[in-house]
Amino acid sequence: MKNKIYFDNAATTWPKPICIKDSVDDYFNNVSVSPNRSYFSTNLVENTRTLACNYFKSDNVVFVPSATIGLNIIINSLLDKGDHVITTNIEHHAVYRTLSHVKKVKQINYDIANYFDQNQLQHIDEILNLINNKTKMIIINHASNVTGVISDIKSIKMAINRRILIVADVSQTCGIEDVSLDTLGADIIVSSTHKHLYGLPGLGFISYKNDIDFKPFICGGTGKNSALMEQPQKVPEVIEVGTMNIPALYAFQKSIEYCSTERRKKMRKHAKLLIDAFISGCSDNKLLKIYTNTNVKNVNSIISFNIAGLDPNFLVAPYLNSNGIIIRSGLHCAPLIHKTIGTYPHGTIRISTSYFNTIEEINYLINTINELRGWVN
Amino acid sequence: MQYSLKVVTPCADYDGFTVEGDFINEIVAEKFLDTVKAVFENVINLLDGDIIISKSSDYEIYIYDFKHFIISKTKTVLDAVNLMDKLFDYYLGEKNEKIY
Repeated sequence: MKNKIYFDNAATTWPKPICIKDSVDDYFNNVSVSPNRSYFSTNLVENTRTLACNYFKSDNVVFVPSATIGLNIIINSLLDKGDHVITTNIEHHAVYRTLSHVKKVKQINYDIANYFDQNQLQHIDEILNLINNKTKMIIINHASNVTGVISDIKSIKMAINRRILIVADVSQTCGIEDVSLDTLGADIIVSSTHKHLYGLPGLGFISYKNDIDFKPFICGGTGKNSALMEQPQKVPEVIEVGTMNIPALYAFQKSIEYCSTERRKKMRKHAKLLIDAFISGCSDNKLLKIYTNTNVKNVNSIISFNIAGLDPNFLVAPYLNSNGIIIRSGLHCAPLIHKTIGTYPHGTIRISTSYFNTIEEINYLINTINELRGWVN
Repeated sequence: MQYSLKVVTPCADYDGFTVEGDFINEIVAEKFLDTVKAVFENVINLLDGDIIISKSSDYEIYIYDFKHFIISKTKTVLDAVNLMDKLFDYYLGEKNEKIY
């Protein structure tokens, strides 16, 4: 077994495919320019945008530094005083903290729907009952970064009988599921590129339908129209400011090629294989409680669990770490899902797999976890 | 100074303060384990000292491999510092009464 077994792919994937590493080498050896700013600048950004639009079957893709920044831009740019937002109990702090802040500075209102129950079953009425005449936006995580359960966004879209923007955070599903706007039933999707797209950190994107007008939120240079003293109002310059993460954009072209429809199918099958092996391998460990419900639609690469009587942060996580197993413990920046599934305030141990994890690694994890039974006795 | 210590914020909602730190000098494992048992109540020793735990209503202490420690759920940071100071006072022979 190698020195490090990496099971924190929901935070960022590792390792990356060789094509990504090669793209970084190629960038530093041969490309290294800042688009729009030098005489020798390339069409790198626009080429990447075209590839992304084709991949996500969208007319519009703009690039942002991360999914968190993307969500901040969406919330700040599209909402005005008095607007109402609905979100859910499976969101990440990229949504909760941003809404909380924008409520204070812009006087928007928002409600958090108990959309998922403790068994991760979905209750659309919890969202529909919160809609009022000021509701402008519903923000929903396509898959929980704690349990992996996938939201049925299309059903929400079909149940609403007026125009409300549906914003889907696809950070945990992009690259492994089909997240095109029409398939999902969303008006806007936002994601990073460094999770299941296997790209580099420091890059995300927003993909959206044609009739959405972003107002400036973060302002600065765009490499064009330098005589203009105000932020341009049209995309992409209304969103893409400052020097972009060019190596990550270059690598994103390779991500798109790597995460083809065919490979995504293989990734989903592989994820199911690993999660099934984990659940069956732990089935005789009566002290282990798994909070991921694989009987509902699930990304299958995320498993949250606890061992009765053992603190996940101070006992289980350090023990796994000392045995070369990298995981994440705690509340995972998503406190409300923990309150729903009953794991607040300590949180859970989260295993998140990638296409590069193996059955042997899962078996090693199971054996290491089973050693902890002796501690409880 | 026998140890370094800093305040940390775990990704969980624990009461009170959490600190973590390292022992600066090498510890004599058996003597240290005897010290911990003499100074604290409810001591649990897992895997021959790989993890030593002591819990009370005022704190939880985890000592890892006689090198690294975490103290959680103290009311103040000073309470955590005082715990470590008294532990080392006993270990070094400067105090000999049961403190907790």
